[in-house]
Amino acid sequence: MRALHVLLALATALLSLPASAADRFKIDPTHSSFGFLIGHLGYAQVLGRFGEFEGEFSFSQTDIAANTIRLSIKSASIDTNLKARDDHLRSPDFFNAAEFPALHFVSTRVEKSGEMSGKVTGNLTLLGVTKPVTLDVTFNKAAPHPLPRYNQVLTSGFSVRGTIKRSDWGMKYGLPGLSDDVQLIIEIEGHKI
Amino acid sequence: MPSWLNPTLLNDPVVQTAALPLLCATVVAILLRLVAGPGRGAALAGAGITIGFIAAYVTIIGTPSLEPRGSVQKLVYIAAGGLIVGTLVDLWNARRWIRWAALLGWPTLALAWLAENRLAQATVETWYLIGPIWAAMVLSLGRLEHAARREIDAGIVLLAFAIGLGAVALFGRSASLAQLALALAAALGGFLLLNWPRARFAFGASVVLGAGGTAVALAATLALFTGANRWALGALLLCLLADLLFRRVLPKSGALRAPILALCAGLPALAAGGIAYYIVRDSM
Repeated sequence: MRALHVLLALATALLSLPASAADRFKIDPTHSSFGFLIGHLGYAQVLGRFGEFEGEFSFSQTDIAANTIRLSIKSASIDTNLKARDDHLRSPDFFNAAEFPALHFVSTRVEKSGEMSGKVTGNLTLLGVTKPVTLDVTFNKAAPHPLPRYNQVLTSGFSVRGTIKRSDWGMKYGLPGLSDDVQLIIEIEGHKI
Repeated sequence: MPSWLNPTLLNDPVVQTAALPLLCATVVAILLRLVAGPGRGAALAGAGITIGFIAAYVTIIGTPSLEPRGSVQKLVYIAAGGLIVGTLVDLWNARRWIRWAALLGWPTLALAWLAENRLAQATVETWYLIGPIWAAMVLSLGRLEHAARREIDAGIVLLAFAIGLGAVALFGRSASLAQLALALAAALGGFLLLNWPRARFAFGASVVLGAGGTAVALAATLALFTGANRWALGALLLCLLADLLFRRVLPKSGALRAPILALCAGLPALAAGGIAYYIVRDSM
């Protein structure tokens, strides 16, 4: 009888885990955001975002090292709330969208740094140049989606923050008036696949 | 410290685009003439134009990338390569067929390198675009070589082409390419000032492939990778024909020929700027 209780308790504990080892998730672009802030002449930070991206991640709360993420962002989908500026940002001065249609990020290592936080290191490819970056990740939630149309699918969400130097990828135009440091503001929500 | 020594001066777009390349081209041309003598020095002085452009490039874009990936990063190497090939052709006083082979081969290589990211996924549409660009590049350099036989005609028509290119790039929302085109125009301006009212320095292969090669590579970059209006870029080619198109109104020689030709060559540049301003092509 005691063994049965132990087994039941174990089964309950396993079932209550929001995500099992390295579940794979597809990023939901309608509830995810890829934004950035860049300094303008030292006065203020201009906020921009990319409207089109896709990717997936593997997530396990128990085996952190098994977590991975892959993101592809369409550079022409940049939006800073001013069409003329967006056209300029798509030009070879900045994202060179015709020559380099996408930015890519592929993680290489994920480490835990706190109860709900970690660091993700990966390779960011921008303008044809691939360099490693480390970003801070905060795990927000992993639970079955409450809305009926999602059919209880396991959904996970993270907030990612970090700063990169755009000149490291050869994007030097407008320095130093337009800051070299670019803050990344990434919110990711994904559904289990 | 006097304000003109302030390092932030080099961040000023007017200095980057006008003063620096003009000054650099002028000083280098004079130095080459003084160091290499009246014969060889006069033949090589035009190298100052491309060197002025490269100096401006460093202040506008930054130190050239050791692993150039994008077209703008490649432009500085195309400028330097054109200058080296042209200088070798000039120094060896190469035969006519070698000059023409260089005029055909250099833009072909430059375009293949510039467009490699597009050629990697080339469709029929890509070839429809690259074919005319290649033809325009080769014909433009051939035209410059032809115009160079007469005093400073080639320099003047190229100046108008570069200014027009700057305007088309600006209206096509490519500020750095606009700055680079105008920096090339400024460098050409410095060289032309030394050659007016009397032509002193040759407009040799080093200028045709260096400055001319840079101008056509800039135009190709605009056509391939920016929202710059392609009709406007096409209209700019008429600048290079100005000495032929307006030959009836141009004085045969003398100090007035240069300013009148500049006005004539400026007309297609103005038209191209107008087209680019009124018909802005959507970016990709």
